[in-house]
Amino acid sequence: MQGVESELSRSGVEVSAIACTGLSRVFGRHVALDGIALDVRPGELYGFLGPNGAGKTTTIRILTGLLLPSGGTAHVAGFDVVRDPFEVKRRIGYVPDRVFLYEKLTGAEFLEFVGDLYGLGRGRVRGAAQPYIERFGLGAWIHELIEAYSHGMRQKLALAAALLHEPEVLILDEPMVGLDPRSARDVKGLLQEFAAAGRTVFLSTHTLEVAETLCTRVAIIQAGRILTQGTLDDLRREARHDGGSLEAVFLRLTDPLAGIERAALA
Amino acid sequence: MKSLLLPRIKSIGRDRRPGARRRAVALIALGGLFWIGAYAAVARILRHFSTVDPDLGSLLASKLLSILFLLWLAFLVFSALLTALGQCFLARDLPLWLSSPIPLRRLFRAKLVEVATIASWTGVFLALPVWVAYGVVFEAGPAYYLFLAVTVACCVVIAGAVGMLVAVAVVNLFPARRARDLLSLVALAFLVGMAVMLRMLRPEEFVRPEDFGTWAEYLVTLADPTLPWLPSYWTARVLSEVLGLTVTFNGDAVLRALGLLVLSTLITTAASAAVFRTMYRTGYSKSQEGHRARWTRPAWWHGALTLAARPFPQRIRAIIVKDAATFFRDPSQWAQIFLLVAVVAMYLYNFQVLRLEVAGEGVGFFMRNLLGFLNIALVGFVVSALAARFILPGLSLEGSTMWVLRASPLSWSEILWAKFWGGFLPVALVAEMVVLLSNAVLHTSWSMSILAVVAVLSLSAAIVGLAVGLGAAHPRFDAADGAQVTSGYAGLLFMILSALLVFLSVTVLAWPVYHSFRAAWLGWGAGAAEIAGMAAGLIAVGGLCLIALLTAMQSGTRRLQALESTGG
Repeated sequence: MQGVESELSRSGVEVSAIACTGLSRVFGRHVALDGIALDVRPGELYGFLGPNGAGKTTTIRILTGLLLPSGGTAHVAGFDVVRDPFEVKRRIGYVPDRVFLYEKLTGAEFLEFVGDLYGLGRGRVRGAAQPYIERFGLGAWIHELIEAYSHGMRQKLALAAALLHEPEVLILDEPMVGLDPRSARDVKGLLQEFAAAGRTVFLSTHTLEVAETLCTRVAIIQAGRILTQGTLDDLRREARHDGGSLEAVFLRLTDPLAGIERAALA
Repeated sequence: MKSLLLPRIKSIGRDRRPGARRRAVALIALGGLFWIGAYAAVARILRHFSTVDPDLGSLLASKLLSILFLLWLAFLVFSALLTALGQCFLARDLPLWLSSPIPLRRLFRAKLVEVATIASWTGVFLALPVWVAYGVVFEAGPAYYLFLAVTVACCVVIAGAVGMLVAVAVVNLFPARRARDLLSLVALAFLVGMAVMLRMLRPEEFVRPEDFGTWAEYLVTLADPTLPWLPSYWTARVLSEVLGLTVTFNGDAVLRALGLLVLSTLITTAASAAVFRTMYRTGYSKSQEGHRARWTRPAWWHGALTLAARPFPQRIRAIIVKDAATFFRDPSQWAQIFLLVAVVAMYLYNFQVLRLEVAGEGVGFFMRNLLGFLNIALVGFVVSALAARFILPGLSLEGSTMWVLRASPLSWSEILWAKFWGGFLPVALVAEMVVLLSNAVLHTSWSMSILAVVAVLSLSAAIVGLAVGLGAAHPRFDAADGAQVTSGYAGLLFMILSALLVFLSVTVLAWPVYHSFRAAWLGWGAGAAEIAGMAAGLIAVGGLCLIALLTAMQSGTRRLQALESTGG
């Protein structure tokens, strides 16, 4: 994967790939996000962890321009998601947690369709898609209707589509769910190459092993608030759990009693 | 069984989508209006029958009841068949049910109640004013309503049981997805065949007694039972006797018909249960298979669609091609083209059988052009029906795949305009074909033909815009199929607004058309004043349609933006 001169560093001043301040989102009376702050640097593989209903998907939907925030600011690739949503969307690739695709299109047609949405020419789409098709083992199925695809194949096709336009920031919601071990290994390798090329991966996951082996930094969100963010060592220190696994750190930090303790200390 | 039905029962009245209450009130109001209208119309017809001749009136009312029950039961069975396929083989909660230790007999009972209820509630709702009108006009006592409840309940159960029996049997022959496609095709062929046959029989001539050889021949034809071996006949027979529509009350006939009805309910239910117990599991397993679009999957097909959409910008073209490819690979969608062709053929046939030549040359000219003018409104309604079926649900059917469009750099406005162009071009093509062909059949004047072509083009654009805009303003992203959107609040609103638009447009054009006819009638020919009047009328209609189109598209865009902001 070739390195690209990111627009983020073009001006000479490197800005965050993702920067949120005071980001909040309210659904009726329910506060899904309560003033979160994030700072993800270019070239990072950033893990976003949290229990069910913590606000991970809401954050991702705001970062991808699918949902407007109730308050605060969010910048992706240097652009405000509210004021410049299209500039943001041109620079990101996104795969949701539940991958629903057009059942009556073939895999190849779906990739062409997505390429068209991003204004790519047919030649460029074919050239960009071929390595992913081969890497993910989709070659034999690419001219079959998507309705015949397994969950893992859909996941891989969606990832290939998200990478077609060479995004600066890749935002993935639970990317490893449904992938077999070989595919999971391929995807992990791909994400590492992507980040090594100076681009950014922001992924939410429940699989702590994935975050532990893949991510350079992680954030843990609970009840709409960021509990902590940093490297694994930073998290261990914060959890006063030196040498523990990420799972042990996660369980300690998201323990309701630990929350009370933290509040008391504050 | 109660526990199996609990999730569905609990879901009733728990619509938390924005505006759910407003939509419910509007639906109840429209339903109430329909009931009042239908009741008034049927009561008027029945009273009219009685005023002609009391005996003949009773005979006619009984015959009508028999035919209505036959059609009603056919509708119920067909509806139950499609519902059974969906509920027994394609429903999302089936893996949960089938992976738990529920005995098949319990599952059958729960599914029968579910299928019978879902398939018949609209049929009962629509027929209720008709049944009440019979009761009121013929001054029926409580016995009528009691027998009505029993016989209708039997018919509902029979339809549900037959639907499930056929569904289970068919799925064992074909996978459910293909079976549903196949059934859609068979059902459409059935509907088309029925409609064409009915049209060719010219029922308007059948109801003229003077066309029969003798009066007795006519009465015998009326008294002849309509398919006496079907539950619909037994139901109609019981109710006719109770309503006093027969010359003398025949208690034995009531008991016999009621006995047959109850017995056939028990037999069909038992047969359906037996088939379900022996064949359901293998059928469910087969229903997991997918299918391939043999003719529309190859690359050349996709290439042809892309070529056809070439004049559009790349992103708009992408959506148009995607929608068209999806349409032609889904048999439940493309099969409806047959229905469309049949409707158009019947439409033209209706003009063909008009005997305008007997009216004389002057009246003939007037009638031809008057029909040509009214044809604008009729084609407007055909366009409305097409738009309601195919275009209105378009955005809602993006549903769970909407993330693909929304994560890409596309605005709501671009998405809606792509939907508009993808719908407008085929609809306008069909509408203009109908107008040109019917004008050719009618031999209308050239000025009338031009007027109709331009007016229908404007109306098509506005109606398609209304469908796209209202579909976006009231989206149902959870809808399982287009019918749910069409039969919902957005569908009703769309039909009312498009009918209003057609009515207004025809009213605006009426004045210049009248003056043009008058000039032609008096032999003056079309002068500058008449041509200017027609042009002004067309400009006014064009303006009206443009306003409707832009307002609807803007309202749809704004509503989607608001939904994005509220997370709805």
